[in-house]
Amino acid sequence: MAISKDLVAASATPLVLSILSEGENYGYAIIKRVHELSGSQMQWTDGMLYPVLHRLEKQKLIQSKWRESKTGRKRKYYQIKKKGTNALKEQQNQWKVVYSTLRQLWENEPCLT
Amino acid sequence: MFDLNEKISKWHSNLAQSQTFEKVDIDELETHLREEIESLKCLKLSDEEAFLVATYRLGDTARLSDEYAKINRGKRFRQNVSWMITGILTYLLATHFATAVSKDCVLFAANSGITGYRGLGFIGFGSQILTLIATFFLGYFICRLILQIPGFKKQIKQLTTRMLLLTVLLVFVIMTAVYRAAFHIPVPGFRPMNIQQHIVQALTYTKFLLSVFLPVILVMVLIKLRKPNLHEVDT
Repeated sequence: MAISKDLVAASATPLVLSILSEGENYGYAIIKRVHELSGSQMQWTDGMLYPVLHRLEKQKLIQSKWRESKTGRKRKYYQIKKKGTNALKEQQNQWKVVYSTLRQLWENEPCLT
Repeated sequence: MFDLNEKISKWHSNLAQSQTFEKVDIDELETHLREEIESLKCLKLSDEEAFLVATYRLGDTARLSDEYAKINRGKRFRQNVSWMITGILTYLLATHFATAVSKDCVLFAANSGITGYRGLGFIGFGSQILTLIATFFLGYFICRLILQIPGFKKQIKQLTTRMLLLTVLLVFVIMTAVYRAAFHIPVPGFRPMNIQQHIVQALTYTKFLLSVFLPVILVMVLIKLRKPNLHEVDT
């Protein structure tokens, strides 16, 4: 089952912010983490993550820094900022509302199960 | 034989052509591509297969470019303004150079015995046009030659571009100063001047200031518009 494009786009911000709230990370690892968590059901075109990251950086929700990894490779690491943590909380509340609304509807609909 | 590095640099320059990416954007995507290729190669894929799969997963250039265009709106504007200012500067420089050369030619011709309006006028006009065209072409070829030197582009991005611009500016200012001093500025003598002479003098000075400060301002704007592409690297 592939998740629709619109849903992927809508969930990109909370996903990225949530992953970054676990600690700083770089693009490639963020995508791997999404794949892993969704059991490869969320198919992102890899390159599309970066515009999302850059947009969040412009909104000052996250910040970035180029750093050399232990293997000697230069990577751009992203880190969540305080404003980003607040935005994530807000997003969480919104998603919870959406989720609980849908769940209530679906629990009363035995045909679907 | 499949050359992975060559393929990646081709992919890199392909992205660079689309002009919606900042240089750091492409570097970041390249890091991603290389990591993906490496992990695919661990799955026993060949270089070629890994490259194909990794570029496919990263998304095609047109779509990426569209996405980046949305967040890099300022870049295109900066680029256009930069080109405009470069154009104006080149024009100023070329016309200046041409005028100076044509004055010299006329002086030289006059000294070698050519007289008359027609002869001198023809020499002045002809040499000015020729120098103008020659300067443009010379500038164009020098730029092309410089850009072909491998690795040069990278180096000038950092510091040399600024030095180059400043040198051009310096040459321009010195040329202007010498040429104005030698030919144009009426020496403010002790003799009384009438109102017309005052006007002419004021206008000449205004022109002089403009011809010095306009390029200075333009170069300043040009330097300001260049976004430094420095990676901050911590270890």
